[in-house]
Order: sequence, then C-alpha cells, then structure tokens
Amino acid sequence: MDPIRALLLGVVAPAVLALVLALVLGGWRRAEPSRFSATAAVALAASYVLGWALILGLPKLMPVDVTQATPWFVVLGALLAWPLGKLGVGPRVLVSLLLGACIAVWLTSPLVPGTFDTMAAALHGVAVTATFVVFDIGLRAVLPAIDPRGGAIAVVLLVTGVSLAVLFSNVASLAQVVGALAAGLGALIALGLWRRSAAELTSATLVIATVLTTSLWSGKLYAEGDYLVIAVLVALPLVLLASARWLARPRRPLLALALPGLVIVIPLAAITYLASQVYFARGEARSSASEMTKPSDDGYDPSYGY
Amino acid sequence: MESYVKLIRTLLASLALASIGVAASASAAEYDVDGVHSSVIFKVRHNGVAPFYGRFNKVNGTFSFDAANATAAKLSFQIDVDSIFTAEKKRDDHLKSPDFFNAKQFPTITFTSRAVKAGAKPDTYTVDGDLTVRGVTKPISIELTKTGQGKNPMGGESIGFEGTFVLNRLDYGVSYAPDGLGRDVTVIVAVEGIKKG
Repeated sequence: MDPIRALLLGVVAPAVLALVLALVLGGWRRAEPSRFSATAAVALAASYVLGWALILGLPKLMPVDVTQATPWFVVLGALLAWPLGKLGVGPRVLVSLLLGACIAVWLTSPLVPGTFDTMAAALHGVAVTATFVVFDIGLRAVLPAIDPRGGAIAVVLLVTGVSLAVLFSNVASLAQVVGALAAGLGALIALGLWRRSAAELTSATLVIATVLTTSLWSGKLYAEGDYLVIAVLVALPLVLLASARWLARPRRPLLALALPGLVIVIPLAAITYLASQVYFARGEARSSASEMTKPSDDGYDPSYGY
Repeated sequence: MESYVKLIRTLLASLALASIGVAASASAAEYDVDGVHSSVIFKVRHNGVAPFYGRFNKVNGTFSFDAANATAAKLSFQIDVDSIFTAEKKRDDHLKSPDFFNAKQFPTITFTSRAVKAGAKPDTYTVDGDLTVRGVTKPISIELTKTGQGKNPMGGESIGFEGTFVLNRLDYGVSYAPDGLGRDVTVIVAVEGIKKG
C-alpha cells in the first residue's frame, strides 16, 4: 500500500469518523467529564473497526483465524460501555475478568494441543486475562483522577507503543489497525483541547484494553512477540496509577496535559527500542545459525539421500 | 426348490459383481508421496514488476492411480506451512505470521481430490478437489500430467505427476499487501509417488 493511501485509510478516515461521532453523540457538551457517557467508547470502536475494514477488508463474522476477531470484541466492548459505566468497582472488575478470560480462551485454544500442553496454555490464559484486566481496570482507575486531555495523551502514547511492539513481532497488518485506534484517540484529544470532557476516555477502557490485549498477544502467540516487551507495556497503566496522586495536582494547565505522558514516555521509548533490537537481532542470529550449524533451518534436509 | 435356485443365483450374481469391484479397485495402485523428491513451488508478482518464486520444503500425502481407470484415482496431500522457503529467513518468518499464513494456527495446507477424469491428451488428467489454506476451503481444479513411471534404484516402483494451478490468495484470507503482492498465485506441484507394499 502506498504511504499516502495508507495514511488516508489507516489514520485520516478513522480520525474523521471518531471526530464526527464524538460531535454527534455530544459527550463534549458536558461541562465536566462523566464516566457514564459512552461517547468515547463508540467513537474509538468505530475508528478501529473502520480502520480494520479499510486496511484488511470487512471483518468476517465468526472468523476462523483467531487473530481476526478483534473488531467483534471491540464492538462488544462499545455496546457494554454504557451499562458497565453504572457498575460499582467489584462487579466491574468481575466483568473485566470474565471478558479477559473469554479473550484468553479464544486466543490460546487453537494452540492446544500442539504448541502448548495444558499447563502452558493455562499459564498463557492467565497472562492474557491479567493483561486485559490491567489495561481495562488500571486505566479506568487512573483516568478519572487526572486531566482528561493529559490522560488521553498518555493512552495514545501507550497505544502507539503497542502498535510498534506488534509491528516488531512481525504482524504489520495488526500493527497498522492499532494505529487506527491511535488516530481516533488523536481526534478526541484535538476535540478535548476545545472541550476537555471530549477527551474523557473512562467509558472506553474496555475497547482500548480489547485492542491492546488481542493485538499484543496475537503477536506473541502467533508470531514472534516478546514476553518482556508485553510485561513492560502492561506495567505502564500501573505506573500511571502509582503516580495518580502526583499527576492529579499539577499547578499549570500545560503540565496537566504533559505530565501523564511524560511519566510513561521513557519506559515506553526504552521498551520500543528493545523490541526493535530483538527484532533485528533475531534475523541476524538466525541467518548465522542457519549458515553455520543448522542446515535444516535453511531449507535443506540434513538426512537427504537418493 | 425353485426359490432355493433363485437364492443361489442371486448370491452368485452378487459375488460376481463384488469380485469385479474388488478387481477394479485392486488394479488402482496405492502410492505414498516421496517428500524428498516432490516439489511445491509458488509464484507471485512483486510490486507489479517481476514474478517472485518460493517453495514449501515439506509435502506428504497419498494417492491411488490406475491409468486404465482414471476416474477411480484419489489424491490427497498435505503441505507443512512451517517449511516455507524463500531464501530469506526474515521473509519466511513474516510469511508464517498472521499477516500471511498464520502457521501456528494453520500448520498445514491440504488438498483432497473429489473427482478425477482423463484429459484430451495422453497422460493428462483433471483433478477436481478441495484446497484448504488458512482454514478456508475452496474447490479448485488441477491439470496434472503424468511425467513418468518405472522402477527406481531401490527396487520399488515410482510414478511422477506435475501440475499447475492459479488461485486468488484473497479468497483464502491471505490478504496482506494487496498492492505490493499480486492476488493471483501460481502454484506448481511436482509429485513423485512410491508404490506401497
């Protein structure tokens, strides 16, 4: 795909749709952000699904390939956003656990038996569920406590980091559609500069967690993602949460915008650099190994005979 | 008494029919695909400029064949997706990822014949069957030519076939880079079979 077309389909179109939906649904009209509004969830889900449709084609209902189901999980997340906004903390965590477990079963089940034995599948299932819950509940806990625009900037940085991590795990197509979510977030941030409540993302944490979890773990389970990269990215909402009290009291508006992003940008840059190094080193290591010691890896059968 | 004669006639007729069937099926020899001497090569256009070739290094399967009764022939083969080889390791890894074949979820490409018929030219056959790639099954038709038959140096009997078919990779969900890589993929299958037993 040529770069201009990729930019139009993967960035501009999703961003415009998110902007239009945010304006039409009217979450920005509120003077203060409300976690009961589902505007951000709908706008972000729509931007992601549109990006998917334009880049990869219309999502198939009941896809046979487990890495192709994210748009449907995202739609579910958007539909649940409004009713779940009214739940208390306990039930909300329970719902997050259940949805995370569903995604975990969906992603790991094709690998049993074969790639994983039952124990390995169970451990990976727990890891996928934990990833989802930390992204969902972690962001849900921290976002209402900080400036919505600053929070949205931190989230867009996190989403960009995940997109790059997925790219370096050798799945460019999924990385590209994660970029469509980042574009939708960018539109909400731009609108939030005018009305701060437009950038309120609390209702959208389910949608964001779904995209981040399925993309990262698709890259790990079905391509060449790295456990450490996933672990650091999952820790970033917790970093934000740990700094929430400090982030909630900036003296100047500009600091309120910048601080949440600044808190995570250094570990994010470091892990993105590490992911890129792992990606390039992997290719070099394999080339030398295949030339020197493992002819079978280079396409030749060492037991070949006439 | 007459009813006994009728019964015996019916039984004899059934036995005769059954033995004809057995004889027909017995003459269709069974072969194992010799993976070391069989090739699956694919060709796809890159950036609209030049054809690019790759191959799968591991193929196995079985077939039965009788030149006198081609319609009774059966063929099934499996290709190990993990054995894809394009002489560039990073590209091979990318081809195994969900961008293309998703080899971890769909480790094999399979073909199973449904019907075989002799072609207009000698030693040519049309094989209709189902090709499954990345979990998607579609009917295809392969024009096969028998390339040779005879004793091999190990004392067994070998037979060879070669065929070419074209598929649209988007039909099978292999849709990454629709502009950079051609949609039509030409597949060349050259199979050597070793007679069982």
